[in-house]
Amino acid sequence: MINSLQNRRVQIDILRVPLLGRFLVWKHGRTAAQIVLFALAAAIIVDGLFGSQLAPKNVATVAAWVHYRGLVAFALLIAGNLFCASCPFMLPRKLAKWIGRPTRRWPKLLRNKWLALIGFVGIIYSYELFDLWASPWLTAWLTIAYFATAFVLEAFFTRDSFCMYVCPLGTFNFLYSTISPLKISARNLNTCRDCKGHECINGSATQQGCQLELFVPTLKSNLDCTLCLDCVKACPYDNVALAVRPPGDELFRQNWPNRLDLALLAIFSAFLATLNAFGMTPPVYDLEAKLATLLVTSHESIVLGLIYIIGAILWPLTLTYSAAWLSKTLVASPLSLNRLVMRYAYGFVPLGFAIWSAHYLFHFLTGFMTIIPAFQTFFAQTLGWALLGEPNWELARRFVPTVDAIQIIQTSIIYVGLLAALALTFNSARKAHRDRSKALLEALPWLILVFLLIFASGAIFLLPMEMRGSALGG
Amino acid sequence: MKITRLNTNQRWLVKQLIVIGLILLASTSLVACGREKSTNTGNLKVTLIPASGKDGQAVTVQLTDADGQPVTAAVVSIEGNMQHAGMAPVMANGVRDEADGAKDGKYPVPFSFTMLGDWVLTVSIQRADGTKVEQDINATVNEQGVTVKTTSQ
Repeated sequence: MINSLQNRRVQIDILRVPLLGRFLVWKHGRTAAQIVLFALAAAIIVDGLFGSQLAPKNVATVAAWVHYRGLVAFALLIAGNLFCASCPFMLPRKLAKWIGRPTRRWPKLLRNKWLALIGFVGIIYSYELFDLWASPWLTAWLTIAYFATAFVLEAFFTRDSFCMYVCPLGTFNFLYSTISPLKISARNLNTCRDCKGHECINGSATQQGCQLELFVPTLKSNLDCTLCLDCVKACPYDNVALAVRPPGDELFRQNWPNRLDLALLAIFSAFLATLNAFGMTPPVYDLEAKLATLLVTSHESIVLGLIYIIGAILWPLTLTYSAAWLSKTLVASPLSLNRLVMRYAYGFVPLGFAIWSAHYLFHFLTGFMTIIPAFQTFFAQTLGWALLGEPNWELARRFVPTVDAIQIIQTSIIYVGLLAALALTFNSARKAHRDRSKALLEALPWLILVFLLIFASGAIFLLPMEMRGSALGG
Repeated sequence: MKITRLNTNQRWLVKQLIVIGLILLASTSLVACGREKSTNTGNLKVTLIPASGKDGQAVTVQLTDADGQPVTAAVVSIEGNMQHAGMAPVMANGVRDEADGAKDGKYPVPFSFTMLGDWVLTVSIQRADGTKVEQDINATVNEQGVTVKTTSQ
């Protein structure tokens, strides 16, 4: 048992903060947050299907592609996995369980992140292929599909299988909540040692335990934790804390289980972040045109599919395993290539998060205020009830930073991500080798890879981003 | 009449069928909803002529009737939206044909593109008889200039 507030130098428990703590442990606290997001999801569906199909004026596209992504990155950075904590897709869970009476466990073969990783790549590919950012209608259908999938899987399988093994959004949040400053911990390990019921995982008569089967005193990582706080509510000894920790603490401690799916999730996600940003720059159109000529096809799905197969799968695999092979050769390591990939995957977490955040924050900062007139339009024109007044699009122009200011913010984020990635890569090497020069030698290929990825991302962010709109001359 | 009680498995099956039926019903209704906003410009042909260069300060809207004759008695305004969410629209107030000193069916609308990327320009035409028609026109702005993708009638 190692996961305890006692063992921390700074012992801060968010659940002890007045008002906030009381709200978080309130029996209906999560449901209240879910209802808010459920109402937002309903607005996305209704406006997406029945409202204006101009993406900048529709709640579906503005809320999903501008605000959700920016706010998720922000929440992960300053707190933790707040979206999963208030996930609206889980609200119909009780209904699904009433209908399905689930008794089946998720198939053993699929108890990993491979399916979620495929879904994650699939969503980003669909985003590019179908121009989801420009289609309120498709965004609404994506939301409906998400609800339907969560609902059906909850009806058939026990223990939040959808969250843990399928949900691409949750997988993104799980992965990057490993850098977050909040984590579930035991208050006092002695209390856990004496505990017989293990209600935090088994539940009590009135409260279910952790549906993801995470045992509080041995919980080493935020991976798979939805911050639902069921463990807090189920513990009869009030012995579960939402502890503050240094950001990325678990990455430096290398707390993840040795699993290739987790390692490749971190690495692929960093490459996918770069590819997603690249997909919105002028060179991608030239590349698509050249590939279309080469393949003698006009189908974007084929051309884009090829770019994604190479850019999101083959290219990361080749570079990653080349780095692992070089590390192994340079220090004559007895470890397998997979083991070396797992050792150095930690550095790709802050790197990927920095690239995603720099991208998402661009949209969020430029479009922050558009949500107000979008909602005004939703009420006034889609519902025919001007609850928030007539749409005032002048509001959308307020508080928008200059392109220069945004690029400074993006560059700063990228640099912080780079520094964290370098530190984690060195850390991984030093944990494995006492000899500093040997550690450096083993880490060298990974450091080069980190620099290559960050250089590519930095170059992309300085390009004029066509689809997402750059100020002219910016 | 004897009522036959359903066993547990049958009840479960009925529940599943009800839910699947409701989902299918909802899906069919939603798919049936049209997503295209119909525009009717009658016999009016609307042509957008952007200024050369990417940061021109005006676009010209040319109006002709079914016979190709210029339509001069109208007021034309434009609202430009980017295709990507998160961008404020650009509005250009209505202008008359003679705004550029010539009554030739070419309306110089003071509209400027503020961003690179894909745009949807909604051209609003107030005709002399009071009728108002709208036409969406797609355009792309890149470093080379403005390309009008669709101009329809």
